[in-house]
Amino acid sequence: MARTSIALMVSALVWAWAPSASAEETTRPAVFSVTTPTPQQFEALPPDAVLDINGERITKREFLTRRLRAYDAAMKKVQEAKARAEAEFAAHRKALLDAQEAKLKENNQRVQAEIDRLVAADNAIHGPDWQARKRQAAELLQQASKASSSQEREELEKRAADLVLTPSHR
Amino acid sequence: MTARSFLAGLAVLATLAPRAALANDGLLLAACILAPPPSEQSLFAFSMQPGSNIVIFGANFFGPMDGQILIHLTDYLGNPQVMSLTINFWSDGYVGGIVPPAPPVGSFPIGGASPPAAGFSTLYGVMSQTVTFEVVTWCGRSSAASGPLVPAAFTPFMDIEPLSWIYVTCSMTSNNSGDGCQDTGGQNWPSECEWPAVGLPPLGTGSPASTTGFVANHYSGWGGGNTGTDTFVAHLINQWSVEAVTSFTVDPMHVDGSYDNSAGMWANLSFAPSAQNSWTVHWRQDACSLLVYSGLISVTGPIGVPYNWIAISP
Repeated sequence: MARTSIALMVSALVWAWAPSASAEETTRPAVFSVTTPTPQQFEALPPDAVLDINGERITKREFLTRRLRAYDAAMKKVQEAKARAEAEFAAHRKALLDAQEAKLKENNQRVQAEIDRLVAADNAIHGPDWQARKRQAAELLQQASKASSSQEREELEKRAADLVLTPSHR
Repeated sequence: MTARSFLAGLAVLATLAPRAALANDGLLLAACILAPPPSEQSLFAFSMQPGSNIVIFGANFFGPMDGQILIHLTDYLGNPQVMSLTINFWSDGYVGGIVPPAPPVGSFPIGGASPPAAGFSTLYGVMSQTVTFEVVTWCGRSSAASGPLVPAAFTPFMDIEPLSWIYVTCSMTSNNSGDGCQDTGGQNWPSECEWPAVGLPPLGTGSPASTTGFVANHYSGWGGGNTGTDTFVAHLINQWSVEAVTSFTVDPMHVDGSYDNSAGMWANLSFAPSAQNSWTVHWRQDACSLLVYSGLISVTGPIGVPYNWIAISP
């Protein structure tokens, strides 16, 4: 970015300085054109010293007063920026988390398509009621574990086995 | 198979099976125990993270009854963890399940130094790593006994958080008395410009840890203005990294009290995700001016894993 320099040529205008001036002249400041002063020289300037900044002539007092106003405004802007940043972050975070969830869901759906194909192949081997028979067998075994007699338990186990054991498992 | 060999095999193999399964002694158990041991061949998935749907191909999984799929991994402290998948379907040659999901975001401290609770039912507190899956048949026979377990590159569920200022340090090429960033530098505004008695303090001065982001304040004295480059570094661990530097705001206060950003006062942010968690701001200001800039740091990392060992108090 090109630097736009602010003219720092300062004119120190000292009031009632010239000893040989007329009465009217004594109320008018004599103008001192000085080169850019050092910070120490600037600090030593009286409040009524006139500064020439970018062609605008203002007193050092006014210059510093502006700075206080601007400083207060800057502090307010910092606070506003912080509140705005927090709101923006919340939206940013939600977008990323939503994208992550969406990607997972999409990937799971692609796997599910393969699972559906595998389940169909399994059903083709064992019959369309294969999953239901498996569930029923599991329930029978659950009942068997709570049977009051060994005879009842064996009967339930046999029924479970008959539901799901294929020749390849025997 | 003769009755004698059946009973002999059952007696030997039953010692390897869980007691719970043996309580259901019977034809199914016998068939399961006497079948060849389960073995894994390959894994099918399009993602490998909490909540992922997976399929393991192999042999001898004993299709008639559902068994278990276990995921083996380690938490961020290095402790081994074993968790069960939710079974989707079970067959002789392929089994499917769902990796335990991540907990809802915001349900536990994020970025803090809280280790995962014992026995957690949701998957968090783990970093990217290679995990393995173990298939255990209904009667307790494990694929681990018949060969290597199928490995997979696991990616944790990632969270995103605004980073506390206390984990960010900075350095400045301009080290005048009026330069400050984070808790570096000071409030030494040039006296000739008569800055307010109470200046904008460095972010670290009296700020709670819950304060997030980064900030710099540059007060210049009378003269030709100032320029410099500030470098910020986020100190993160456990696979956390800076995801973005956002909401960058510049507040230039000109020498005449105006805020025109197009003139001689500016600050430019430079951040690349590959920049090792570091970013820079190049700036320029006029004489007797204040340049304030700030931004938010968005960090991303594994859910439930701290991004720094320094605990923060809310």
